[in-house]
Amino acid sequence: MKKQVFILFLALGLCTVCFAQQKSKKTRTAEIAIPGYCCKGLNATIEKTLAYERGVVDWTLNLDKKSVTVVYREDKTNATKIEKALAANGVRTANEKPNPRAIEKLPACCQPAARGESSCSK
Amino acid sequence: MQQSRSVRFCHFLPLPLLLLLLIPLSLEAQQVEGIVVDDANGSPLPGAHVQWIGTLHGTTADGEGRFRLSSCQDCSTLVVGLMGYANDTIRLQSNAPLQVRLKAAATALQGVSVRERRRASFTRMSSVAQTEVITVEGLRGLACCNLGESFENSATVDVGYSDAVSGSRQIQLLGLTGVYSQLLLENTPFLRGLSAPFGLGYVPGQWMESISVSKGVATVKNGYEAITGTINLEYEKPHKGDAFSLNLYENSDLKSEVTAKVNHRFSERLATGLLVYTTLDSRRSDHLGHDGFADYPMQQQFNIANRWHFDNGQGFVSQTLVNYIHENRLGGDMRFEGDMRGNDSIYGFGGTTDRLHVFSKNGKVLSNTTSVGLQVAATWFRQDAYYGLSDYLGEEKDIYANLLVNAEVWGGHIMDYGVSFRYTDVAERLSYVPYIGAPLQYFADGDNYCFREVLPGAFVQYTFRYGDKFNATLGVRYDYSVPPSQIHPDVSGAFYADGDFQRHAVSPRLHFRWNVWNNWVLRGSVGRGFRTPNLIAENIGILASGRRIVQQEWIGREEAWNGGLNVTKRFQLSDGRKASLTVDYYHTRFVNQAVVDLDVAADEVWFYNLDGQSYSSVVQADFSIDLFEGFNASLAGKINDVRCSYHGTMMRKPYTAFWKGLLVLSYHTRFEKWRFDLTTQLNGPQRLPLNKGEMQGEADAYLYMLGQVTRKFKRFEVYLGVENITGHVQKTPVIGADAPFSHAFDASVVYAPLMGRLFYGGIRFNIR
Repeated sequence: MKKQVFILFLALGLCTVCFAQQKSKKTRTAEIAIPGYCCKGLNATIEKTLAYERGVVDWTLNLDKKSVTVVYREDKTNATKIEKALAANGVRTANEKPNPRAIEKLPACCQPAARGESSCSK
Repeated sequence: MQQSRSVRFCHFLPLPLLLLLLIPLSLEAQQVEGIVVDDANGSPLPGAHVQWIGTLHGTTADGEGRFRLSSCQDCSTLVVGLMGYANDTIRLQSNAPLQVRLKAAATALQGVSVRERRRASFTRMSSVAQTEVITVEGLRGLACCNLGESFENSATVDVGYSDAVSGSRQIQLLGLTGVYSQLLLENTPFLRGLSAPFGLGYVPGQWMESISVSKGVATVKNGYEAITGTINLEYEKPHKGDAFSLNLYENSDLKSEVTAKVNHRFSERLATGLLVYTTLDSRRSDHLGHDGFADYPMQQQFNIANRWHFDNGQGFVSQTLVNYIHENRLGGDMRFEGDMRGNDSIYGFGGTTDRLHVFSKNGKVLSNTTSVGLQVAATWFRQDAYYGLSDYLGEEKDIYANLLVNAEVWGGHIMDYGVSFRYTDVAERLSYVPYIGAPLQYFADGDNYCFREVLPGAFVQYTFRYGDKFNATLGVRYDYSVPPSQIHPDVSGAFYADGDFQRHAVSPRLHFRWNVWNNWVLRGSVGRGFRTPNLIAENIGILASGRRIVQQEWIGREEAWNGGLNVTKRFQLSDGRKASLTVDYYHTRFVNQAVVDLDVAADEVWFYNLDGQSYSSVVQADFSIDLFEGFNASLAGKINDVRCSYHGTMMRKPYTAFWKGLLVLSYHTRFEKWRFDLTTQLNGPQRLPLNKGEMQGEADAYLYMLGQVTRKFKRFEVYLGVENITGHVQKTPVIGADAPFSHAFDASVVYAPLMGRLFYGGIRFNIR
C-alpha cells in the first residue's frame, strides 16, 4: 500500500517538473522598493505573491535595502502590475497602497508598517 | 543578506521512511529584543509577558514596553500576552527588533491566536485544554462539503450514518455520540437539541476558517454541557476575508454545490460579510445492494448567513451573525416521489427543515486588567419529517445569554465570573407506525417529548499561572432548573412528578497544563457535566427500523464525570522541520444516562435510565512529522472501550469501533502550487445490536481511503478527488428492503460506508 502511494506521489511530482519547463523569452529587471519591510515575516507573502504572478521569472530579496529585485518577461507584465499584485496581498510598496483586508492576514510584526502607521524600530 | 528563489525551482527528494527514526534533534540559539505596544494607539505596554512557547524562558516588558530575551533551545515561537489583550504568537524569522502589537481582547474567550497557516492541523501547545485545530489549509485538502465531512483527517472524531435512508451523519468523540460534546460557533452554543442529528449538514465546509476540537470537559464558561469535548467553529471574518470568493463543486453522483462569500469593509471599524451556500442533488442512485432504495437521499439546501463586525479601536468589539437554513430531503424507494407521503406500498423518507440562528457577541475592555463580555444566541428550529408511515414533527425555540467578566487579579492570575440564562422550548411529536399491523405509538405532551427548560446559572473560575511553566484553571458553575409544573402547569407527564425532577446542577471542573521539561507538556482535566436528552431527535435512525419503542419511565437529566491526561512533545528538527507526538487517555463515567437498548429484541428499542455502569475509556496516540520540505505524514491510533449496562448485562456500545488507525499523507510543492492529500483510515470492528438481518455479532474492520489533488493559480484553484477509493460498502444497507412495511424491515443497521467510490471536482475562485 505504502509503495503504491509513494509511486503515485512520485509520478505526480515528475509531472510538476514537466509543467515547470519554460522557454526563455526577453526579460527585464526591476527593483521594487518595499518601505514597510520590517521583519522576515513578510518574506513568505512577497515570495508567494511573486510565485503566482504571470510573467515573473525570478526574484531576489534585498533585505538590507528593503527592496525586491524582480526579473520578468516584458511581453507578459510590467513593474506596475507587479507592485499592484504585492499591494493586493498587503505589501506596501513605494507607489501602491496595500489592501486593508490583506494586511489583517499578515504576520503581526508586519501589520503596522503595512498600514503606514509607523516605521520599524531599529 | 540575500536570498534567491527561482519560480522553476522544484525539488522532490524522496526519503525513505526509515529516516524518520534517524532525524537528529537540533539546538537553535536565538536572541531577541523588541517592544510591546497597544495595537489601537501604539502606546507601550509595560508588564507584558514574553515567553518562548513551551519553555521556561520568559521575561516581562519594562516600563517602556521593551524586552530582551536570551537564547532558547529547540524553539522559535514567542508568545506575548498581557491581561486585557489577546495573546499573540510570533514565529521568529529574523534577529531584527520586534514590534509586537497587542489587540485589546474584546472578551477573553478568543484564546491564543496561532499564526501558522501551512499546517493542515496542529495541537495547540499553549492552551490549557488539549486542542486540535483543523485549519483552512487542512479543510482545502478534503472535499469538505459540510462539517460532517471535515473530520476525515482527524483520529479524534469519528463520523457515521444514523440510518440508510435519511443520510444524516453523526459524530463520535471519545467513543460517545456527539451530543455529549458541545458544538460551538465562535464560542457560542450552536448545534444542540433538535438541531444535533442533521446539524453537521448545516455547516458548509467553505464557510469555516478553522475547527478546534478539545477533548475532555470544557471550562465552566459555556454551560454545563460539553462532557466529552468541545468542537468550536470559526467562520470567515468579514474584516479579514477576501472581497469575493466562489466555490463550485460537482461529484460523480451529479450532486452540485455552490458556495459564495462576499465581504465588505465600510471603514476601519465596520465590516460585513454575506455567506451563501446552496446544494442541488437532483438525482438518486442505487448502487448499493440494488435493493430499490436510494443510497443517499435527494437533498436541496439553501443556507445564508450575514455577519457584522464592529471594532471601535478602543476596546469595544461587537459581532453579530444571522443564519437561515432551509432544507428538503427525499429518500427511500427510488420510485417514491415527494407527493406520495403516506403511501403504504412504496416506502419513502422525506423531511423539511427550517432553522434560524442568531448570535451576538459584544466585548468591552474596561481597564488594563478587566474586560466584560455579553453573548446572546437564539435558535428557532422546525423539522417536519416522515419515515414510511411514521410522522415526526420537531420544534424548538432556544435563547441563551451569557454575561461574563474577565479580570486579572493579584500576581497575574485570572478570575472569570458571570451569569447565564437559558430558555428552551422543545416539542417532539411522533406518531409512529413501525410496521403495518403494529399498534400506532404516539409521543407528545410532557415527559421527554414536549418540555420547557428555564435554566438560570452562575459560574466562577480561577486561573493560576506560574509563567509558562504551569497553569491551572479551577471553576465551578451552578445551574438551577425550574420545575416543569411552574413553567407549564397545563402539561403533565405520565411518568414523573416534580419530586423526581433534579433542580440543582453543580459542575466543578479542573484543568491544568504543566510544561514538565523541554517541550514536554502534560495536561489534565476532570469535571462533571449534565445534559437533557432529546430521545427521538438523537435516535432518529430508529424511525427507519420497525423497532417498537418501549419506554416505561421518565428519563432524567444525564450526568457524567470525565477525566483525562495528555502528554504532548514537540520536536524542532535540525533543518526547520517539525514533528510532534501526542498520547492521551480519557475516561467518561455516567452517573445517569438515557440508555438506548437495542438488544432486548430485534424489533424493539428500550429507553430507560441507567441502572448499573456505563463508561468510555479511550487511548489515542498521534505522531506527525515533516519528512522533507512540503511533505507531512501523520499517523494515529486509537482504542475505544465503551461499555454500558443493558438490563444488567455489561456490553459494548453498538456501532462504536473497537479501534481505529489513521495515516494522513500530505505533500505540497513550493508556494503550494500543487497539493496532494491522501488519507487512509482503518476502522476497527464494531458490535452490532440484535437485528433482523444476517449480519449478527460483530462487523468486520474495513479500510477507507480518500485523496485529492489541488492546483492553485493566482485567482483560483482547481481540485479533483476521490472518496472511498477502495470502494468498500455495506452489502445490505436495508434489511428487508423488499417488504418495507413488514416486520422484517430495518434500515438502521449501518456499520460501513453507504457510498461507493465517488469522484468529485471543483473550482474555487477568489478576489482579494
